[in-house]
Amino acid sequence: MDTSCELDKFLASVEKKAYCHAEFATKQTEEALDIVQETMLAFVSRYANKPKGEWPALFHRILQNQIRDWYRRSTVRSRWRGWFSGDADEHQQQLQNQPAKQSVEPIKQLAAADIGEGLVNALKQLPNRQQQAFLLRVWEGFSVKETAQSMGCSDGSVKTHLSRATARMRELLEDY
Amino acid sequence: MNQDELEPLVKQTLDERKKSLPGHIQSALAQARYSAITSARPSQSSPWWWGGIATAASITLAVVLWQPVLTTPSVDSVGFDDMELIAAEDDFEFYEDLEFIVWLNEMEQTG
Repeated sequence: MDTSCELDKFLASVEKKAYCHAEFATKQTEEALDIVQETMLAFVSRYANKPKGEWPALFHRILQNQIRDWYRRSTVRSRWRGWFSGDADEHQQQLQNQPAKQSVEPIKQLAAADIGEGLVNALKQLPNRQQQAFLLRVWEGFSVKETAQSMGCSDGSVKTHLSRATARMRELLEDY
Repeated sequence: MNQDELEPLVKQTLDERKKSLPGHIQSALAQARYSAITSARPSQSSPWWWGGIATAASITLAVVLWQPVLTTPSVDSVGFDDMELIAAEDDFEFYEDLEFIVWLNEMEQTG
């Protein structure tokens, strides 16, 4: 089979999950689509000649880097906006704590609604690294080592992020 | 909710979410995939040295086109012929005796 066909097949098999990863992180459709597109372009241009068995891990490494870059860029943008609007310190603190310190209440209010929606909202509230570790380990089924490679961190960090993410998810979903 | 309940629930929920993505998002993803794959094709079929060949051909063409301009006789080359005439010793004497030759010619005609 020609490389283009194999690439097409592979990308088609991962694109929807990749979009969900990016959408959970950014909470914005357009930003998530941009991240997936950039990931695909980078993957095809750099790693198309690598053995097919390495493609999933390489693709996820690029995806997680793109998501991390997006966080950095949006943090810088928000900081500038905060400075210009005069409440820099307050804004910076809000950014640092945004996902982790949000109230559990919104999730509890959804108790009567669909549990799936509550779970997705809970996932979106996780801090970036915890969210990445949780999705890669639980949804993608990656091993600790594969997750660490994709996230560019140590095995120990993955375990810590995953443990915190799981605890936080259980806390957010305690009413279900 | 304990760990054993959480993980299967997460997998099931996210798999369902993945399958039910809106049409416009699925279409945008397919478009992104197509762009990524087509962007790779030119680099596979056009090796880096194609650029070098194109540059070399352009330089050769430019040199060939400039060649006739370089070989066209210039004003300097015409001036060189005049200088040769002036510098030739015999001819210079000829011009000095020109009046005598004209007078001699007139005398022959009248005589």
